[in-house]
Amino acid sequence: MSRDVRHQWLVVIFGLGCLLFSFPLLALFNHAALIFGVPLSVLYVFAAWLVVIGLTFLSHERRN
Amino acid sequence: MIGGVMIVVALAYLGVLFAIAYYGDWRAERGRSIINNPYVYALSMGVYCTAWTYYGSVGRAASSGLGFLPIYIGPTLIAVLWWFVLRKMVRISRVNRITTIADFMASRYGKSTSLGGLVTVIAVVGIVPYISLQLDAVSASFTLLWQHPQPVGAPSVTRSGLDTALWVTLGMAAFAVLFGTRHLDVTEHHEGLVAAIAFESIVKLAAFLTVGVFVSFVLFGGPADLFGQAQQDPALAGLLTLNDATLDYGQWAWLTGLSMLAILFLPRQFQMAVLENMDEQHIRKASWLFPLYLLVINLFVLPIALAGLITFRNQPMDADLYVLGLPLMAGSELLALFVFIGGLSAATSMVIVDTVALSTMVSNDLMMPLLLQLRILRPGERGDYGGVLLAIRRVAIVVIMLLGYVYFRVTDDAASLVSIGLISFAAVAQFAPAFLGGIYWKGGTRAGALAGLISGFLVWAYTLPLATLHSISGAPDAFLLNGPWGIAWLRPYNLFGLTGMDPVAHALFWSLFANIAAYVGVSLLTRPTVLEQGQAARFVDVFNYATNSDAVFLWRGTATVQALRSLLERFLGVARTERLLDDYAHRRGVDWAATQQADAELVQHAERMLAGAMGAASARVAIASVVQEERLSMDEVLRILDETSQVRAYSRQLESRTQQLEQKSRELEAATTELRAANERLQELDRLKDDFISTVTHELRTPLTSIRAFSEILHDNPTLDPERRMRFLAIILKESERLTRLINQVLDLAKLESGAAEWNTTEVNMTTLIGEAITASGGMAAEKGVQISTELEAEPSLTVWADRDRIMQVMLNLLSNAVKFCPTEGGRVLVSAARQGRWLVVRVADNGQGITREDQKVIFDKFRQGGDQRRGRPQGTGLGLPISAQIIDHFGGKLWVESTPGEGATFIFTLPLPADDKP
Amino acid sequence: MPGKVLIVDDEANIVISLEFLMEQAGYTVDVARTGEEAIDKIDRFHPDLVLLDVMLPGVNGFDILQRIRQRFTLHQMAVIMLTAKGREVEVTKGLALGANAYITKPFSTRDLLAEVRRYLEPGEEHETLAN
Repeated sequence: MSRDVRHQWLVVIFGLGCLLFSFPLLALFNHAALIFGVPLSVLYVFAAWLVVIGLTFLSHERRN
Repeated sequence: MIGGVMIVVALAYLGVLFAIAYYGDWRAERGRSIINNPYVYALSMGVYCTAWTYYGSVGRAASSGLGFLPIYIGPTLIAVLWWFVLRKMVRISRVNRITTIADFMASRYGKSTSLGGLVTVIAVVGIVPYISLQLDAVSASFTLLWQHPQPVGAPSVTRSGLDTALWVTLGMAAFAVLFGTRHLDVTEHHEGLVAAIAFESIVKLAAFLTVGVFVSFVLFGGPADLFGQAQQDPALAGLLTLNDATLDYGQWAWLTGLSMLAILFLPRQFQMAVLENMDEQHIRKASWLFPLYLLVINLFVLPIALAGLITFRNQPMDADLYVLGLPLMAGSELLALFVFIGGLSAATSMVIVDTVALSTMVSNDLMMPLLLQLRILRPGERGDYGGVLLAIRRVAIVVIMLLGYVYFRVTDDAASLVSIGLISFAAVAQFAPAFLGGIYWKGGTRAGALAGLISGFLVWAYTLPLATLHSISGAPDAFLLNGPWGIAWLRPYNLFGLTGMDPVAHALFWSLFANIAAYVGVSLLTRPTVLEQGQAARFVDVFNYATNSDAVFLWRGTATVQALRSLLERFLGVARTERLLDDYAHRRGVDWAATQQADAELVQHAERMLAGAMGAASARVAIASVVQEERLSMDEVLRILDETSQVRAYSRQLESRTQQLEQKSRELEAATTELRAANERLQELDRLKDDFISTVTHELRTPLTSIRAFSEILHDNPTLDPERRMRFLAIILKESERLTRLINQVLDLAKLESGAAEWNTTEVNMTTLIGEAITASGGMAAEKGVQISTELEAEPSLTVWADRDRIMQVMLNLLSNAVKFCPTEGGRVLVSAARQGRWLVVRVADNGQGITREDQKVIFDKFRQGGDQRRGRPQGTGLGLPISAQIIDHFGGKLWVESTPGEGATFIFTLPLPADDKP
Repeated sequence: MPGKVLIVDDEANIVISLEFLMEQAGYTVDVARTGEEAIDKIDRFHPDLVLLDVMLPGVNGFDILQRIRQRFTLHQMAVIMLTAKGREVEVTKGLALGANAYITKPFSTRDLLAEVRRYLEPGEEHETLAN
């Protein structure tokens, strides 16, 4: 993947992040039900957060 | 007696910070930076996490569950785009030697002193609540520890008989003065400061994680236990989701957006992320590492909040202090002390960096321009003004801290830490339109920026801090409920009757609305000055200017080197000035002894150096005091800009046009492709014809030149000695022959190429023909002492169908070439003819210098001649071989050359032999 | 004071004619037949005027002109370009690169001599042929 393409990915990740942290998706997971002892809402927010960070990491650090 | 220990530990901690800072500076001076790596850069951005995060997040979570998170989600999202936005800010700041965010704005909009001053005022006023938040948190945590082990109660600042908050304020102000104003030049990196801030980021993270693990796993059975208990408890279950009681989606979105702007425009973030950046590549790591830091520091916020709510169920404990209260409650004083240090580090990092940034703004962008314009400071006179700058900065720090204290006292503890912080966020968000517009839109003008900032700031002040002051002790007064003078649509929390939004979102909406509308509207209605346009181009197109030297110099005027030098000395000191000018002279190859008059570049350079110490706007005023400047007309500016950037823009346009065209032609498919190919062929032919005519002209003019020159010489010198006369006449004859030959060959070639040549095809015996050719060339060969030998198959079958004269022409050409390139002594030419299958192969080999591989490719082109170029031009027209090739080609054969340089060349041609049964 | 003229051309006969004309006019003459030789002679012979052919094997005339102008002003070393390609573009290019004058082959020997004198005989007018 060329540098330019990777930089375009950043814009895509930003859009994805905005989507993950906004109304429809946020509401979908807005339940207090416990998964592994953690409320689904909390689990979702932190997982989505980690996904955005992970994708950013990949687009900057992955060589070739 | 934990109180006394606490003071000692706190002082020791501040001492460690000093040690780190001095070590950082010491290393920097020796060129071994400890901060020049992406990890320190990312950690130093952790200055975003202040006492707000450390104490306030838990307080916020205790009332709104996940509602504390948007403040960290926003930065995470914008960090994804840092590679575009932040990198551009960093590049612009470095190229223009920007010192603060106010300087950035002033510089972009034509180095405007009024704009720099305005941004400074907004920043100071906007950050004061934020500073008061730090004072609040530190003094509250201090009081809580100081009173221990007395029963935990709502901490009051005056209970111990001394005003804790005032002492904390003065202590922190003293620390900030000592720490932040050690140097004058603010564009060189504050390596010590950055190192200390990065260290503080580690301390607060470690402290918060420790208390998080302690509370979750020691006091309770892990996060799962806490969440489980919370879910059973109807009072707590609501905190586990987003709902009307905690935070709705609208608020979530507003806060996310607000924090995106805050992370870019908070003065301390600007300081760390933009001004202290050592390498643009560091942004790559920071854009995932910094969000990761935010995620980790927030992991235990909700568990701690739940633990606090469960533990202090019926006690009057401020939720903002759960972080400290829980370990104290559990009797773990040592941990409480560590937590206190963590909180102190969170608060001090914010206070230090913000006061450095704000005091620099006050001195560079507010006071200095004022002092220079009111002529209280006169750069023309002697005196050291570096000291003045430092003094202003120190006073500014103390005043800002005291303002924070006053705000804290006036609002008292009615508001939570987070709600105070959000007021500051909304204030710096006002920078966004003019700032982002400034780096992406050349149309933004100074007037537009001023209008936008003023409108946004006024609306912000009216709807947030002013309103806050009217809700002292929690009860909203008539001003809030009914509006000023009872005008309902002016109610600060419900401007124009807008309801259904919380105060921050409401304020943000109206202030940014007014801000953007004024900025864009006024920008479109006003004309930028020449300087503004120049700066706009430098900012918006910063990546197009590869380096500083590439910059456009929109300046014309006169100044003496001496005047500039003494001006610099006054602000930067003699030694530094000397060093900077020496560097400049070295780079540009200037000799100061011989240079009296400063050129545009030197003036610009001096201005940038001054800007590093006092900001762009001040530097401009100072420079103007010693420089006679001519105003550039619009036409001249356009011309200068044309020369530099237009060319690039044009080529980019061409590129994109070509792409569009290609796109379209792909759609039109085969037909277009064919048409284009045909067109290209025509163009190529046209170009070839053009080249050919030009070359023919040249070739014809060359002999003509000699003929005319010698004719004139003979004509003008009738008494010339007979010997020279004869020589010159011989040249004229020779050149005339050359001219004739050339004309004949050009015509011949034209005939061959157009197919108009007449071919007289008969049976030709090649053995006989070769013999005749060698006889004909004998004179020339004898003249040069070249020996010609043959190797011929004496068979009657060496007979081909061809035009006898034409083949003879080829043979003569090859032979004369061979003789020409033979060495002057011992030259030998070997001609052979043999049958190979259905082909007759004729070879003409010489023992000359050979033909290089490159020449082998071009000698069959028209007017291209081989040979050693260093020995001058070989004789000949350069048309013989192309003509021969055409002839052989006509009869279905091939002509080519084989040669090893140094060992002679062999020209070979083939002709088809008739089938055995003769026709 | 008679000046020094360097003739740079690869056509032997043209060189002979130019050499004769310059020597007859009383100048000291040296000849270079290739670009490299010309660069070398400029340093060693230090001519006051260079008659420079454009189409040279190796380093071409424009390159040589550029090298001369990096070191010598129009007055220190005059350059008259000679070319058989009389295209407008080439004339403009030559003058832009700092040639004092531009003469198209075949030339009139009187015009050439007059042009050379303009740069080498003091007291006469000192304008270039530009425009």
